[in-house]
Amino acid sequence: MADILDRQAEIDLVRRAQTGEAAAFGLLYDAHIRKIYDFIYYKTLHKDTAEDLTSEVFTKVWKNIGQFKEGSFSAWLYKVARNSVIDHYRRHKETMDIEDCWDLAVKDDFWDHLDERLKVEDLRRAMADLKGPDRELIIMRLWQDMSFKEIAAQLGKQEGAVKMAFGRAIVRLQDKVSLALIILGPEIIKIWTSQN
Amino acid sequence: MDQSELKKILEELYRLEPDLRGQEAAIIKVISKMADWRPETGFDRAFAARLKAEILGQPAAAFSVPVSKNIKNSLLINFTLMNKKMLAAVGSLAVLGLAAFMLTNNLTPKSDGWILPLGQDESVSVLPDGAFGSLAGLTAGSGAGNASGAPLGLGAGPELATNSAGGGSGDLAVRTQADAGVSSSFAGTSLAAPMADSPKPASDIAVTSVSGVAPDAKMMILPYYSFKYSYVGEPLELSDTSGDVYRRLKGDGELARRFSGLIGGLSLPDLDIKSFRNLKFTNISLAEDRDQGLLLSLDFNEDNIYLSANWEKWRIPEREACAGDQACWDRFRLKPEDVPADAELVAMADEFLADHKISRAHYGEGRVVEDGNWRIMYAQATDQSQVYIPEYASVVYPLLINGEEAHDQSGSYAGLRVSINLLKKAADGLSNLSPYRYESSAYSLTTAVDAVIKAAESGGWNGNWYGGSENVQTIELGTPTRSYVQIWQYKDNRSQELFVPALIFPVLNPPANFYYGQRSVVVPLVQEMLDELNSRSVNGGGSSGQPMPLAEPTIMLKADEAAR
Repeated sequence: MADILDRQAEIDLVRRAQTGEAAAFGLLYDAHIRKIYDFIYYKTLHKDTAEDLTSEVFTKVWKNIGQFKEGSFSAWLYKVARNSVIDHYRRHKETMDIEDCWDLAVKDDFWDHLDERLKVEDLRRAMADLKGPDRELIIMRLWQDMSFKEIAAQLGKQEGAVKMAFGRAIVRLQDKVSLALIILGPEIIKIWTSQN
Repeated sequence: MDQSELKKILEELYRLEPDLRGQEAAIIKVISKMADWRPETGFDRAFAARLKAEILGQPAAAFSVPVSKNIKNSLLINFTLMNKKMLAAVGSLAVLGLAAFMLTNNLTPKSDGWILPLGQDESVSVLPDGAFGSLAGLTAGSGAGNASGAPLGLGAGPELATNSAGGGSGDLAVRTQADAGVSSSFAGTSLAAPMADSPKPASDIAVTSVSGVAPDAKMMILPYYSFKYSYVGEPLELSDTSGDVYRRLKGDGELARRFSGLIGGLSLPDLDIKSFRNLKFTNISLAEDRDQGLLLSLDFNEDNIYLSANWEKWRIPEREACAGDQACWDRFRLKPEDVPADAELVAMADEFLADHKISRAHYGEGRVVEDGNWRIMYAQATDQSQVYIPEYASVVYPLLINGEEAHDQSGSYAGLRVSINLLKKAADGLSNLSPYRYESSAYSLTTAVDAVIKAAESGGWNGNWYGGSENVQTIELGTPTRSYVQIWQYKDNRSQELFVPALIFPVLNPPANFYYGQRSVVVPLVQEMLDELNSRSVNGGGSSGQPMPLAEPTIMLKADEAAR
């Protein structure tokens, strides 16, 4: 499976998929499935949910490929994925403000593993301190290894603006009480586990 | 976290906000910690394979043709909601309908095959001059935008202008800048091999260079280049002051109504067909129930026929069972020597067309079109094992317009396309088969050689979308050939397929030391399109090295709306 497509190749494949060529869409699928799944997982921290939403995203995109007219295809995929996650939380929560799992109380399968839970609780606090878009920058830059240029393209923003937002998110993390937990996390975990 | 990657992030942050250097130690800790805490996602390749089979197992044509939302949703939703008995009944009816239609239209295979008469007989109707309206907006939409990957040749025309905040060249600048970044990034990337359960996507195997950052051993450091085009071909002479633009004629509804007439006499379980009024087929899909079976889809809105793999019949259970076992997956990866020679692929496609009695009367000779330009990437890769070789190849039979082979806006051949599954060594799909019915209308062509060369040296229709860089590579363009280029125009919520006269300039010296996928530069000869193209380059919209300042690209919202 291809994880990256040449830009021109992607344009050609989208064109072909729009003319009904399933194999062309298959190549687009191969190129993007991992990144989209991971992106959704980072926003749900639940494997089954991530798989369900990934299915939803690619089915939706395939059904609507003919209507795609403007912009970068991969940016479109990310946008559909983002909306699917938001819709998912809207379906399960009354509030309209939830963008992803980091706004929620600790639950779901990711949190069920004791070893992980300790460090993830710190992580969750840190991420919860950020605004949704800033969290997404952290996810894309540090967890998905996307360059600032790629992120800018996916978000439809200027690269400079993305870098600045990222920098401020990092600074914001420093300023929060959770900084101590972040930096001292392993040590705290060691202390905690030795005491329990 | 990789130290070079960390340095790269820091350098990029400091460039914008130098004051952050004073907090470097704390920032490094935060970034490192956040990166180290990346959750394991548990990506399951078996899930991905199953999902792919499920999604692509749905008839492609019913979903993918760019027609109006209202039309598109009508029959599709009904089919989705029908139960199996109903589907079977409708499927049988469709077969009966097809058979009846073929009989009533004396459609029998001839010695040289047959053309599916989805509408009237093949024809080219001559219309008055300029009958398709202004073509200027098409250049704006599909030129720079297409170069940046924005409209994909489909977002042209008034609809684009209406949705652009700035309109005109301002809008072009938006897209050019936004995508120049992507282009530069992708220019330095390659098709990458799959990784079973690696927490890091393969995107890190190639990065653009950053000064002061030492290359990591795992990384393929690719410099960021800009391109300057230089015409080195024979002197040009353009004497035609006008030329025909062609538009494909699509279904007038008559055919669909004739099919629909067959429905009235049949009742379906749990549903009174007669209770519906003015029913007509918009599409029909039939599936072959056999190993390596195909899906046959007829689209009456677009007058197109598609063949695609019936994915359930093309699955590879052994591979799906690999789950997270990377070594297992790798056993199914293609090697260069697994890819048949072009002549062999063309022979397979020829045989496929012959087997299904598909006429090639209006198409040129088949040519292999490389998916993803993998050969270039393979040749240039420092670690060739990382280069993914696509599992499909395509053979394109260029559509003949006025006796000339049609191209798309990238300069690739446009026409009948046969897909070949390289793992199975068998043709598994066909697209762009439609009746040869066109209208033609004369438009003013340019005779200004200088203007044409200027447009070519600005990157032509695709623009110079690799953006600015200190590393400038000169791309030489050879003597062009005249052809027709396929573009789309949106009007009245429907897409129109146009073929406009254009020159195709071949790229003579594609760079050998880094990836550059473009094989040719396309310049339209229609006067108003060329004027607009050159105006764009003057305004810095599509072909200047340094992009213009930009606003939020509102066009993304449109794409988003389409998927919600």
